[in-house]
Amino acid sequence: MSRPLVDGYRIVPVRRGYVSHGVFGMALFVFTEVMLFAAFISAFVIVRSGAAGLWPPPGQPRLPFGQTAIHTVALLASGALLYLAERRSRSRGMPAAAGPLLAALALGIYFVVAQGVEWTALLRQGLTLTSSQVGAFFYLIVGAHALHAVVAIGALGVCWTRLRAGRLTPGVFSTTQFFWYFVVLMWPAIYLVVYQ
Amino acid sequence: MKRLGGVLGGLLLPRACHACAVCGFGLGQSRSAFFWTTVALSILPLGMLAAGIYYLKRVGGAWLREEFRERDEEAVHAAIPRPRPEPARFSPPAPAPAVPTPSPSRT
Repeated sequence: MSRPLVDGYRIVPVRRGYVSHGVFGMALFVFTEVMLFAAFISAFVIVRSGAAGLWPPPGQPRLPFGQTAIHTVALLASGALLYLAERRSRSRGMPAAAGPLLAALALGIYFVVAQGVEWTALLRQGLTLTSSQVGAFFYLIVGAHALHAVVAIGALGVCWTRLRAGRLTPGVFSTTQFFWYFVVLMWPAIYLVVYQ
Repeated sequence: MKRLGGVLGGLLLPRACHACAVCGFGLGQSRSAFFWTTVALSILPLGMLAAGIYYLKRVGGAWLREEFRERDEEAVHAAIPRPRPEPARFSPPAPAPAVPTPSPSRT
């Protein structure tokens, strides 16, 4: 259907995308990652149930459930702050998101560093990748999550620098948010299953 | 002969033919864990798909209606027969003023 000419130009309405390509691609990626972690956790649960109550095996340290609770709260707070940043960017414009975004980034870095300190202590106590099934599953599952957290922190850092330079687009911000929410929401499931 | 032996062995000693090491576990707790993790792994992708479809329906409904509104309006306008506009009535053109033709000069 041809459209009328206005001042010699044909006016064609621009179709706005429903979601940005970045968000859609990230949603597909997160879908596969959730299934990956679900498979890890599933294997862990089956192996632990076959240990007949001897978990962790004799000679292996208990995982620090209480200490990690603090890290968990920090990570959840980081997710909440990023949500606040998103709300502010919508209501007051992108520069208003700078404060909450920086706080979310700082809490994410704290989580990863604290986990690293915890790993060091566990290694000193003799929990290694090959010492037992506990160690193998712990470093596999928590290590995979930490890897995702590090990548997501890098993405948040990119968002922060772009925001400071005035070049942060809503599409990039939403994509990074999606990934960070995955990192944040996956952790409580890992924490409650693996650390208990 | 080997195949026949395998079939007979399976019929006579079915417990020895558990293909899956997890299914063959004697512990009830282990069987229960295998069952429930299978349920979770089956439901999880379906749940995520359902959540995605719900999101598209809830948030995308208004967007999709707006997306095709203009096109649909054009189609409706094109489909409705409209009466032809009456031709404009012009007053008959005024006769051209008579231009006096020069009379041939008579010499």
